[in-house]
Amino acid sequence: MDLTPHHYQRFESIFGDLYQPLCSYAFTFVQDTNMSEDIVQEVFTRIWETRKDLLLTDNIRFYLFSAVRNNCITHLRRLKSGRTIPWNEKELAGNPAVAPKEGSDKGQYEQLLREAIDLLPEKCREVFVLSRIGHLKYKEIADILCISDKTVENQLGKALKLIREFLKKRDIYNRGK
Amino acid sequence: MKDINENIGSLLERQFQGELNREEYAALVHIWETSFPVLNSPVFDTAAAWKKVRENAGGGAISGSRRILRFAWVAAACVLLAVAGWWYFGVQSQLGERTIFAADGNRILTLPDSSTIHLRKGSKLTYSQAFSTGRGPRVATLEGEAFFEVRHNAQRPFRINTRQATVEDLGTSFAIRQEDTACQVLVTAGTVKCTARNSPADAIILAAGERALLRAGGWTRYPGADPNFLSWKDRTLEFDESPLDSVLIAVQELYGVPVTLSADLRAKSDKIRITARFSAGEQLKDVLEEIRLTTGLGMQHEKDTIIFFEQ
Repeated sequence: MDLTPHHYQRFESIFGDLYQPLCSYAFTFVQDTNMSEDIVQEVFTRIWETRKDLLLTDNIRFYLFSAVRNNCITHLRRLKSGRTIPWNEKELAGNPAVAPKEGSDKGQYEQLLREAIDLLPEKCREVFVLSRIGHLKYKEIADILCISDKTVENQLGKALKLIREFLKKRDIYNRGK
Repeated sequence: MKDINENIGSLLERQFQGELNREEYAALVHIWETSFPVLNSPVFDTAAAWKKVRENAGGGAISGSRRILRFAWVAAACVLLAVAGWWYFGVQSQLGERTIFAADGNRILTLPDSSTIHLRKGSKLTYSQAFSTGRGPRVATLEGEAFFEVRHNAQRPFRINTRQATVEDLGTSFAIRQEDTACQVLVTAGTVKCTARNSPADAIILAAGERALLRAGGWTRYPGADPNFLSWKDRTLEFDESPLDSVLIAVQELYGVPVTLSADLRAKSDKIRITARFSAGEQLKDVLEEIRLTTGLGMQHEKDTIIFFEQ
């Protein structure tokens, strides 16, 4: 095929741009770095094998994020039907009994922020994460999550408010100690 | 192209009309900004993954380019050996450099160290291999204009060179506008160290909200922030008692449509002041209409140029 070298260049540049954000995205679901990388690499491999045509369209970003999301959900479902570990662990993450690691203020803030994001209601967290690292249009986020454009905005505002409330509470809690 | 990162401010305004005080608003924007590096960690090894995927996906399908590529690798390996000694002294190598050119519109890139760069249309960024190898200072060269959200790492300084200046990150986010003879830097979060390339003693440190311009005579600090410095990225415009001519320049730059004043109006344009705010996604025609109504001027199209005139 004539276009192959062109496709290949595009493939390489998309990979360079999106590997990190896609892995970060997968990580918010599976909470496992190796699994995140496996999922993302498989998606890229599959695109190269079956859907090269997508590489030259504007939809590629949308397609990649949707595919990674679907594969993460499938993976979690498989895990869940076997053993029920990840979701329980997630709930524990929000428990103050898991003391934040000692460290600089900045490290602590980042850790709290991560915790706040992980504790968001599921849809809310998905909208927030996807908007923050996906660099996608509203419409695309709405399509990936099967919700309306308006809901994307609402959930995003809600996510920021919830995170803010969480941080505020924690701040008081820490100072009180 | 409209994505959420370009207009979180206007989203918050729409969502919480009037509900948020300044402090709350700033807190939400702060969460938005700081959540990016948090979500983007851990850092994944893009270069190693690429090697793997290239092999998996390659098979024999990557025809012509694969052969060329293999040759290129052999050639690169030879050159690499030849310069290895030189490399060890920490000299930046030309090898493995990657150039990204935002030809068709603004581009958002995530570099291998998970720093994010908004590259303005028409601008070019070249970054060294050090970004992927995970060692040594991260150095990139910018021609044009860009906004940087840097994954700060004190052990691995992040430096941007322009023709005139070197800007080094000491915190998180900053913007650079490089022109023919001048270079402007605006810091939005953290701190940045700016150095004139031709006289390294000429250096200043800028904190969040500060802006400076480098010309032949050295750096000049600007007292106030320019609310429109990042209009090309955020697609918002803000004017506070701004003279008409500078308003029109900003509109022209953002929308890419020539807007001008009739000859008689040009002389007194700085006496006509405008206070207005346009949020992201505002149509050009609405912006022009607002300007027309607040100034009471007339407006006409001549070919593709828009001209304001006195009625």
